Amino acid sequence: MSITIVTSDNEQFCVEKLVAQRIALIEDMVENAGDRPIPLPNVTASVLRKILEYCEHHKNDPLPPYDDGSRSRTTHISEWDQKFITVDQEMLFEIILAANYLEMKPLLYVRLNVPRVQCLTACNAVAGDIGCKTVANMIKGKSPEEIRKLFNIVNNFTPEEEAQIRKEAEWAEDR
Amino acid sequence: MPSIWHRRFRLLEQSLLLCQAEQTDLQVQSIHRIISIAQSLLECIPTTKDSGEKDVVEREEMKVEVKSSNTREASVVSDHLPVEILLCIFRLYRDENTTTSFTSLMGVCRWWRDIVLGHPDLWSRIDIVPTGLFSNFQWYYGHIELCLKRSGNLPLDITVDFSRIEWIPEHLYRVLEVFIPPGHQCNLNLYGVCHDLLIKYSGQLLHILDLLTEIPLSSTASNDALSPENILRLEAHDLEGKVAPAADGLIIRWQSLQLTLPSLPLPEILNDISLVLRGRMPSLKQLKITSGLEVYKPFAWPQSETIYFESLHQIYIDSFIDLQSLPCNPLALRDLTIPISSSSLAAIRQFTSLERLTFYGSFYSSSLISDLAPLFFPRLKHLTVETSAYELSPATFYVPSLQKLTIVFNFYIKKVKSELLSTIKTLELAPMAWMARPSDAQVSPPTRAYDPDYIIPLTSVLASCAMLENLRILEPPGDPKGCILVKKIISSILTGILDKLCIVTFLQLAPDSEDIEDAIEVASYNVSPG
Repeated sequence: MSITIVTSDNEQFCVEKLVAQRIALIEDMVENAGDRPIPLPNVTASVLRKILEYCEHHKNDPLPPYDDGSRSRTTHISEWDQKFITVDQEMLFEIILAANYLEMKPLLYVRLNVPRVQCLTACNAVAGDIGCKTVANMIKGKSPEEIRKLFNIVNNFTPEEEAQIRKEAEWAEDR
Repeated sequence: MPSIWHRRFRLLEQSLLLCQAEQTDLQVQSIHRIISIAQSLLECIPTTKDSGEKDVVEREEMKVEVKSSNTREASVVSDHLPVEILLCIFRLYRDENTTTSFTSLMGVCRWWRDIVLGHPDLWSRIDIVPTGLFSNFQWYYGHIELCLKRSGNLPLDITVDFSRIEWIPEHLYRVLEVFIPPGHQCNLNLYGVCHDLLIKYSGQLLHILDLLTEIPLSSTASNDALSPENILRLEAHDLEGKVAPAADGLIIRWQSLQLTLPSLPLPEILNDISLVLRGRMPSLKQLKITSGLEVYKPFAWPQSETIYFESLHQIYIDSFIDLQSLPCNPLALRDLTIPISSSSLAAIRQFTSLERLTFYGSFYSSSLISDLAPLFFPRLKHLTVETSAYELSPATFYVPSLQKLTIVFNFYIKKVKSELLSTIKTLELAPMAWMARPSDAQVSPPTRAYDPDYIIPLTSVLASCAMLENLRILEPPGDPKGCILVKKIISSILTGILDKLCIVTFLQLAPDSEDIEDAIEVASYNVSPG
């Protein structure tokens, strides 16, 4: 059985139900949609293509355990996921935002013995994990200036705040 | 904005969009108007967070989310990532780098700085002797003070790296005694331990044990650095007898003890362990002792004049110990896991307060079980049996309160006594052959056709469960026999055999556990006739 998804740029994707069900938001929509296409107004075709590539690869994976954020996690990424997420920066952030919108937790961290519905509720704010791990790896060991340059972030501190931050940084670098 | 509202809004938005195709222009306008009103209302919903800044943050987040992603550029996106995504990134960054590098994140832009400073949980992790921080202790302690201040009243996650045990006592002392207010909740994460290291630095270990006894009782400790097993082994090898007094304060608080003993020389080890435990664990509630040794005649626990596991209510035990000899209070015991054998069947008769009982098979389960006297457990609510073991027991069970039965079976259920099935409301089926993981080459799932002879007893089991309301089935991943089982269950429901059945749940083994207790629910169906 397959379902049809329509992206924000009006491209239609015919997706195997098993694959589409890795996307929590779509899983919720399937029953209401019937045979009608499911619109995803916040996701473009190029991003959805990537997301579906991920879902296809991981379609038979068991749902990973729920992570309530209290446990320490590592930024290790598997080899396939590493290749998958080797994209330009714009696409990386698009994937993260889309994963967040689609409620995909890489994809879902579902703790043992917790019914799936509860897990989805508990985790619905967490974004695509490999995307976040990739960004965390990118900023590792970089100075504020390097991070700003990397992500093209505007420095919006006042001169006073800048002075305070410099002081903090000097103290931190003093170790 | 509370995430539940996010979710509801998204579903509303999606549902309305789904409706659009079949609506008139006027209705479409109305739908857009509803979406717009919903967005406005969501901005007004009071949040659970207390900072005004966070409301602004969350409104920004909403704006980004509802906006079409067609024209996003990296600069815009990375500058306005929703707060939960940035937090996820920051936590991952912290867990790899320790909290020390937040200075870099806080210097990026005001948005990032506000998030780092506005989320106390980011500051609640303290590393004792983190790698690379040895050069400036003044900075290190300043940082810990900052963490304490910024984490507010949150429990502290203290990670102790035992691979640097020579440094730990001094820092642990300062952190626990000087910085952390008395009674502050802590979660200890201890790692990097090895037995030789603890022996080498036994002086430091004694100091650490002293310090840890100061942590509030309700705090938790994880990992095995100072596990009961490690401490007891250290005590057993402590010729100067210093470890035991230092560990007293810690041991007296243990509520759970898990020991994996070497197979030989078992009687001597049991003797050592019993000497170490005697009179020191009044609070012990859970005890698990395994050795991997299969014996025909189990060893007796060293004799004692008094019961010294007074509070014990849960026991998991291997075949090598004679359960009857364990110095516990039989009427306090609620939960028991044992291999089935003549000896264990004889022993459990005294445990009449049991609420949960698990039988599993062992090598010597196949030896003749001659005890035919009925077993009476008036309070037993949950019974788990491996049928291969259970079928060997000719004893009759009287379990009037039984609510849940878990059957672990290999290919087929030969027979399950009807007295166990008539009262249960929950039946859990765990076919052992299906529990093998596809990746496990040694025990790959069988692929031959499912013999109808195996199905008939299953139907008969289901037919005997007149009160059944919940059926839970461990799903065989990708195994066609699962479909046969499911069809059989469905046909039983349709033919009215299971007329009280409400919920059918399919389970999968958790990635890190082979215990059905830990299985993940993958799907749940309401099948009640109404």
